Amino acid sequence: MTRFFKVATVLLASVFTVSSVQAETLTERLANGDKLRLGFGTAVPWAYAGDNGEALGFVNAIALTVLEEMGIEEHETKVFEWSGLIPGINANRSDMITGGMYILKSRCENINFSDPIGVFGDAMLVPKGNPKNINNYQDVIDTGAKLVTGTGFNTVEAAKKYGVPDSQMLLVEGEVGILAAMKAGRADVAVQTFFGAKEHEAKTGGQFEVTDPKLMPKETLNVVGIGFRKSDEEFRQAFNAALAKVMASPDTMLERAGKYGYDRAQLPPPSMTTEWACATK
Amino acid sequence: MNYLEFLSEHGVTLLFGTVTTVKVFVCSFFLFLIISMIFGLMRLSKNAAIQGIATVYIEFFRGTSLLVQLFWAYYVLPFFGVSLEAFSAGVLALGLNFGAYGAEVVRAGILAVPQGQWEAAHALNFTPAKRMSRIIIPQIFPIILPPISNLTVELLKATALVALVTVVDLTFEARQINSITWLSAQSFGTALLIYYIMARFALVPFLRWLEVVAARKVGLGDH
Repeated sequence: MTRFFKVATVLLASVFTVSSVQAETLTERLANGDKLRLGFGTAVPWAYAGDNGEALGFVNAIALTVLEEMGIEEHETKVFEWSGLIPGINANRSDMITGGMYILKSRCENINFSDPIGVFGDAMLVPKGNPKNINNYQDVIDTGAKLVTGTGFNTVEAAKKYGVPDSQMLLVEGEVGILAAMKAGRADVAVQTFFGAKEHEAKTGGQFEVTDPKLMPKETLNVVGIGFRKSDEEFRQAFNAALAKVMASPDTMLERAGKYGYDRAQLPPPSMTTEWACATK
Repeated sequence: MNYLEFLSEHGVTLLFGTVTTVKVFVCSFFLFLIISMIFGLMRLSKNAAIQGIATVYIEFFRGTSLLVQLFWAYYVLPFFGVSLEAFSAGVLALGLNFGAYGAEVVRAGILAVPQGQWEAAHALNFTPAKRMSRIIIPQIFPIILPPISNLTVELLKATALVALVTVVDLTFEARQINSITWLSAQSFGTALLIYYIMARFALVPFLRWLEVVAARKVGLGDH
């Protein structure tokens, strides 16, 4: 009995290695030989982990190209729930958010973003043939359809802004939850990124289709940035400098990100800056 | 893709996840037992302060959601200067949560030992500490093991929640495979099967064996 508790205590003591939160900045820690930790969720083709945890998806491809430009070759990956990405980086669980986050005002209050790495639109996912003819938020309100989207997605705020009542909205966990809800008939229409919707269309072999993103309100176009802790300003600026070089001659980057569907159409126009998105989105 | 192909492609990944699940379970099981014992005894203390601490602890951890406690241990504690690894944070939350339930089981078990045993120990001039450790505690095991077994099986399944704080366990891997391949039936079906096998063919027989041993030790065998 006593022996049992002794063994148990020793075992537990070996498990609990408490480390106090590091006060050094990312730049200092990298200089000390620590590995950079990329944090992302699972959102094909934006960012997801391979079988051995390797960083896949076009946001990771772009981020890695920039990091190589900065001379940083090594990194670790950490896969979070989408809604855990910002809490995770602020709790020092990761160093960079490469999940493919839209730069939004509410997010700028909690983290800093790099300069935009691309511009993206949302689209709706509807059953084949679009029986209810839903192409945007107004159609959702008019038809009384049930709209599904992901917890913490930009589309939640957008739907509210365009007046979709709470009773018509269904919030689920991540891209997987969205497709599951559509397949199970729990929702009539899903709103998500154009890329995400495209992926769902392809994965279900034509059971669902993507609406024309041009029929969505123009203001729903968003830019994506890489997220950093507010205290890592020095690193963010170094990243931006390298990013500017990559964007100036984007061929290598386009080749690496291109296999996930990212192309020149996504290159951010100079008018859409991080400051602009933080102020208006 | 047929099921065998699925297994050959993702079986190893799920197996690695299972190993982590077992590790999380074993560690949190030990923590759960230690905490149950300590706080169960503290609940019966005559000292108002000790009893109060135990009551507050039990009420707090039984009264709030395990998932929220997990998120606290993982995302909020770093703001107070304590950064636990995801694995330790998961074990801590599971152990503290289940320990609160276990403490009440231990308390009830101690109170269920017949009054005569207490009086006999008293008559033999045992100190209160000796009485507890030599007479009372050995007798509580046959009483508390069935409810503790119940909690333990529950604990095994609750370990699935640590997947939500980035611990790469069985549930995490199943979700991961599902979100990339969209083979929900195969990935979650396999995970369910593995959980069931662990509970039914490893954990439950072990707990049954413990019950038999405990009963035999106090002379209650053969039934």
